[in-house]
Amino acid sequence: MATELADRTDPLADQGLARSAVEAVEPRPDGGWLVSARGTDAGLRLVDCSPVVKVLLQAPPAGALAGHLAVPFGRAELFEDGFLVACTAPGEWLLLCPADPQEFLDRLAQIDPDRPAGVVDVTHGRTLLRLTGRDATPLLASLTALDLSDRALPSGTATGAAVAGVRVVVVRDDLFADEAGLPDGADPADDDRPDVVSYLLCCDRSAGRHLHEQLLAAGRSLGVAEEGYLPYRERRADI
Amino acid sequence: MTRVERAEQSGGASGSSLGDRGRGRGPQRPPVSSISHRTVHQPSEVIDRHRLVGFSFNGRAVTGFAGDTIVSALMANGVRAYAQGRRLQRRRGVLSADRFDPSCLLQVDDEPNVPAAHRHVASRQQVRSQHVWPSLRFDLKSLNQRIGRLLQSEAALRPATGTGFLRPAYRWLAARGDVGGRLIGAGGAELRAGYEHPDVLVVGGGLAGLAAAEAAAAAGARTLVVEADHRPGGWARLGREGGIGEVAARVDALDGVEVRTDSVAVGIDRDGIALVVTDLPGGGEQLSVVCAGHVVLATGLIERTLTFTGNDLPGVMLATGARRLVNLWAVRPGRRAVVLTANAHGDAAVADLERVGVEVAEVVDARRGARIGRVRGSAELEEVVAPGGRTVPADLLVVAAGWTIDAGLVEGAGGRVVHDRSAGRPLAVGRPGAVGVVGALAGEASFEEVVAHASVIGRQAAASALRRRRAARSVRVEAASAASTLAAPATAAAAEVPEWWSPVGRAAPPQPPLGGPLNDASVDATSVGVVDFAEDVTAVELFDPDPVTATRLLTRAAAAPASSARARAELAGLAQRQPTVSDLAERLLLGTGGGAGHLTGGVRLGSLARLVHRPVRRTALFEEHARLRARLELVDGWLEVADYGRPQAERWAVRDALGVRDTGRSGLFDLQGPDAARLVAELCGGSDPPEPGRVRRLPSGPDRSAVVVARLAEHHLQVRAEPDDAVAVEGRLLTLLHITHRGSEAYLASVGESETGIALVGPAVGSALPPDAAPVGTIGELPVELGARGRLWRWEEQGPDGSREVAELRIPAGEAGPVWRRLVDRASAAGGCPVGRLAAGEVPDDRTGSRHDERSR
Repeated sequence: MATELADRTDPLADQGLARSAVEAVEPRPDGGWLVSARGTDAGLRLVDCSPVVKVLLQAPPAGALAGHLAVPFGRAELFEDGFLVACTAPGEWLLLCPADPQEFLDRLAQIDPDRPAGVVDVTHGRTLLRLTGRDATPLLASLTALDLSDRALPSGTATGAAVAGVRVVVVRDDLFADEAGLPDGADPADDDRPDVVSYLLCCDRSAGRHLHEQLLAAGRSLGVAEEGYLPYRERRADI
Repeated sequence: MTRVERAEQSGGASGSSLGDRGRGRGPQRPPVSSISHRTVHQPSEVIDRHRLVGFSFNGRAVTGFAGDTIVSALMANGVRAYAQGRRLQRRRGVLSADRFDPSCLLQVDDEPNVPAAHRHVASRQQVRSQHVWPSLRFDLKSLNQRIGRLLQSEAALRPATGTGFLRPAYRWLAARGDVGGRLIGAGGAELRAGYEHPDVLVVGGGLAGLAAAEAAAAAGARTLVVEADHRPGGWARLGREGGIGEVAARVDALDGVEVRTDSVAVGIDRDGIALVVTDLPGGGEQLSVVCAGHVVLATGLIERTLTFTGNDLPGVMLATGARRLVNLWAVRPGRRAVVLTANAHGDAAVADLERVGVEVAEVVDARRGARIGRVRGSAELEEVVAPGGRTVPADLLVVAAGWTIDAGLVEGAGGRVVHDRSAGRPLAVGRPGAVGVVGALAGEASFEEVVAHASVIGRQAAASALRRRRAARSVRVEAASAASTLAAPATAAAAEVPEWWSPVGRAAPPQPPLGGPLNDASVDATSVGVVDFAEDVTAVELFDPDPVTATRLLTRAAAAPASSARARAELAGLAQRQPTVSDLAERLLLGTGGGAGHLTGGVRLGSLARLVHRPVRRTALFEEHARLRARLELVDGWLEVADYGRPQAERWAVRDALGVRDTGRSGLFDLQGPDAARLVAELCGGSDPPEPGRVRRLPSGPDRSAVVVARLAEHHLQVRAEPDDAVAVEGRLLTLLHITHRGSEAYLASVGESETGIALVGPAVGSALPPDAAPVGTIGELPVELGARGRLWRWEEQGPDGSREVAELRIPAGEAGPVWRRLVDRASAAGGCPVGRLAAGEVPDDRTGSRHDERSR
């Protein structure tokens, strides 16, 4: 019966590849995931970064592990391994890892062996989008009540907010122009500071497609375009 | 585009430098006036005179300084009437110039009801008056200013309670601490509640609060201070008495204390659980459930209003408002003033006004029996009329009539409120071992005495909280000994309280009129003076010769949604003036007359006014269902499969063969840690969780709902809940973890979306699984031939036709598609098929046996 009903036209359907909530355009296999290979030269880009490993780490907010991580509530820090650690609630961190985080987690486990942290892999349960470009702020502002000004949400901050009615962890993580794949528009005096506004938006997988659609719809007038995870990864090793 | 331009485009910095003034920003209407009411530098001022901030008010350009509130900037520009009473539509100006000022609610950008006496000005802000048509200047509805006396009492009062729907919701929030683990946040969507567990929560960051926090932190307690204002310091910031700066600096230097400004504890319950609302920068609010071991209340005093005809005219303000404007924002609140004073605060207001060049035409000293009759003015205050008819031209009337306290907060926390007749105001009394009361809330004292007393209470609080923390830890080891520790009263430190500090225990003096020396004239029951500024109710509306009607009107007014402690003090005065209902007065004043349980401040929910998005959620198998041409329905925001086009065949499959169903909507909660099993046992009403490696279906909660519990390891469990129960189960787990058993060593995470579920139901479940698959009642790895990672849960559940087996596969959501297809093939081979919600409605339910059937009908 199922064979009668199913319309199996997807040649990659049975290859055991993991899929994001957002349908991949020009799909290619990469690291066990089916990702999009679409490139773009638009100045405002939306990338589905869902294949990034996401780990929810919980530990006492005043404990040894919290002291070691030194990422306070509301902040996001990039670690040497290329991992981004965002503290989304007191005693709760979201690790975004472009590579296998096991070694990193093993190191953390040594810090307070008497009270091991709670570690949950939520890679498949969350959608991670990266919105990058000089009009990223006005686009996001049209979908959220969050104050996105540099004063309230500078690069390196993380906060929970409703974006298009979806509960989202918003991390402001600005990029250099070459990382963003954009022409260099930085002030020469400020070469050490990333100058392209970029947001990481992490939400429940079930709402990922809705959020993706809303961002594309709201940003149509600003020229937003989808960029595949594959070209993004080729340009940038970190998350 | 440069970074500066980008920042400006995104709302940018709140202030721009003087050099930015010339930057072109399109045509603007002419400014309302120059900054004509700003004084010379004041020692306590909080404005940065080097940074100008431009915003608009009702479409006209206004300029303030960084650090100004919207109201202070408007006052500095000579705008004294900017709001309206919401019911009577009379023009309003400053009353108390703080975040609780009921006359200062404005619309900022697209956020209504913003407390503009608290919200800082920001560049390009668009501020508008509310309830005004066509404009504040030509407002047709403000005709009520002239005909207020004609309004009928009860009919007029009824619409004042029209927004009551908000209040029960937040009272419930405060009582429960959670809404299924989620609270409404900025933007209208749900945000997860932030739970916090300080040892000591200090409510109020004034002198006494800071001193208590310092002592508590020094004694080793993790201490959180919540302060409603932008900076700590309280009343001490207005005067120039030394000491507050030193206390604040010492608190700042301590490690274990956090002073959280812009935060209000809107409610506290007897278990020390507080709902704290924190303003987010630029708008919106964050709600936190603070579960403290001990609470110290240091909320200070609330200045009372005085009821006389015209008391809501712009230009009539409390001494608090005038002093804050002068001292904090260097604003001259008027040019020629009359000051009515009944206390030292009023005297200080006189000194402040004279210092900044306001002509004080007359000081009406209520302590010597002087009174005022009424005030007059068309749009703003023009003259003050003495009881004998003598008039004094003035554009400012400052009233220092007396004090009251926030009785609702004290009583909510389990403290007591008593009326000190000699002081003419209520006093708060703490509860040993749980609630401490410090500062002016507890009585009058000098600076040094307040600090000394607060330090003792802070140490007591720390001792009590640390004892509770230790007890909470030891409960896992020896429950009985912990119980006795918890029950031990905090008597050791109690002996330290100075003897002079016994304001409640003193012998009761002869009883003067309720409310203190001013009370006999404080409320003119026949005036159209406003009694409750938030609800916009006048005295004449509440006056009735019939005692039954008068009692009903007064208690109803006290229970109105936005009624404040300030209003209840006036209502008590009003009751006192009517001999037939005077016994009601004290209950109204002390918060037990219908106003008890009121929340402080309230939550604006302004951001809810924005565009409403209704997200559509999809399970991980959505694409598979689309391929199978499923008929989808929107259920609770989720796209769910109703059926796959053959509902009857699907029902037969479930009954006679094998159905495969997407259960991605079900809740799955992961608990890790030594206390995880204990929490799950409590969730399930004391039923023992299964042994490691096993699965059991257990009852949960008072409504006979059931959860399925799998124990992955000794300290690692997962709880599966039906979609309809998931939010409630998560809420119960959060309550158990953070409130009932605070301090438990367990971590909770919702993983339902990470590990999506596929259920096999029907008599042929066993045939779809290999013989070596995990047996019924256990949890195991997925069979290898399914070609994916994941776990297989197998359990039995009871239905009308006896017990039946359910197998559920939990698979990483992104990898679930191929597994689904293989299972559908197997079901097909076994005579079954994929089934939707309607067919699954025949799956028996332990609770009612018919719930799903009802829904399918």
